[in-house]
Amino acid sequence: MTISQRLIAGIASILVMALIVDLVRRRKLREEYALLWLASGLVMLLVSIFSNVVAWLARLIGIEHPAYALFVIALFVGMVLAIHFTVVLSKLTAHNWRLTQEIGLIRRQLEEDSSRKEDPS
Amino acid sequence: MDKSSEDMKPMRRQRIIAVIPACNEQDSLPATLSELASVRPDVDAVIVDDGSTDRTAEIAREMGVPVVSLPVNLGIGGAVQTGVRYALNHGYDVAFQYDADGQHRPEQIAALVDPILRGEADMVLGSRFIEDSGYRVSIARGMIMWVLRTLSSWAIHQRITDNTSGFRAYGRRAMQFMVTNCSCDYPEIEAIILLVRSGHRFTEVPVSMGERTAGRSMFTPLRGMYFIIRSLMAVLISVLVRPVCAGSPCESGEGSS
Repeated sequence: MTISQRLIAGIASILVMALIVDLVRRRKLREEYALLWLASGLVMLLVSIFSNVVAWLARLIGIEHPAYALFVIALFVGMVLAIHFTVVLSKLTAHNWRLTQEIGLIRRQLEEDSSRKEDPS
Repeated sequence: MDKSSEDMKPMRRQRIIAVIPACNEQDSLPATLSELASVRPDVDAVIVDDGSTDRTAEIAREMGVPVVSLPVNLGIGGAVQTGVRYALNHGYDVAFQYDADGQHRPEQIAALVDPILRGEADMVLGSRFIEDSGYRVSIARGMIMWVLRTLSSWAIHQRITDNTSGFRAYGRRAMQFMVTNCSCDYPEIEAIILLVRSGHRFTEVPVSMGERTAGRSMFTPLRGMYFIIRSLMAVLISVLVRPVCAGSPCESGEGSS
């Protein structure tokens, strides 16, 4: 990779990490998910500094151009992140489901209690 | 069938409740409820209003039937599970699922709950196909049902003749299991497999079903496709995994029979 490519990649990864830190600071992003993004930002930064690592990795997988290897790695990381998000979504759905049921039941309980109060027989 | 349970004279009369999931069923609900009340006045009912946008909840309340109103639509699985929670909280011994659209016959409740009252089953399914009930389906749907039936029967090593039937009854042990296992958008098939595979006794009784009085079937072509794929997945996955628990610990381990 050329110097300018590496510079741009480095700056981009630093910007991403700064954005993540800012989102956490403003309470828009939970730390547990921020960690994931910071880690991927760090990987990006390291790759731009030690770009020969990518070249070595590309040779290892059997890809001619280091840039392609980068794409493959990025795609893989993106996919793992997406799977992670659907797992989180599923957990949220289960919680939502349970809470919705509980709201319905509690509402009914309130009705029962108030009707009992109205005619204390 | 009903007489045998009377002969046994149990210590305490067992309490039975109809869990009626209803999403926008204002047109068919009044007839269904009054028919149920006149044929089986001894059976209680609870309407689970699954995020209806019409007057379903009001109509049920006006008729003096308890309503559990869900703020958003959870689908049939979530609605029935809510009703089962209600039944458990209120100490019912038997809960059975009952359609709001008038498909299920109140005269057949006795046959449905009888195996549970006699302590012979934890879950009973009302099947349209044990005896020829005159219920007809299209060839395509018939084939799909056959595949699902065969797979499910294989999964539980027991014959199921009608696993998409919504006319089904649960005893307390099965109810407890139902609320700790979040079974999902299409619970019809999964519920049976999960229950049986965790040691609950399951049996089928022959029933006949009427035509729906109002409302429309959930089967549009696209939904039908989704239903098939989801059901196949459900069968395969429920065979592979132990029951999934949401929040509370699983109680499936207690004294299996």
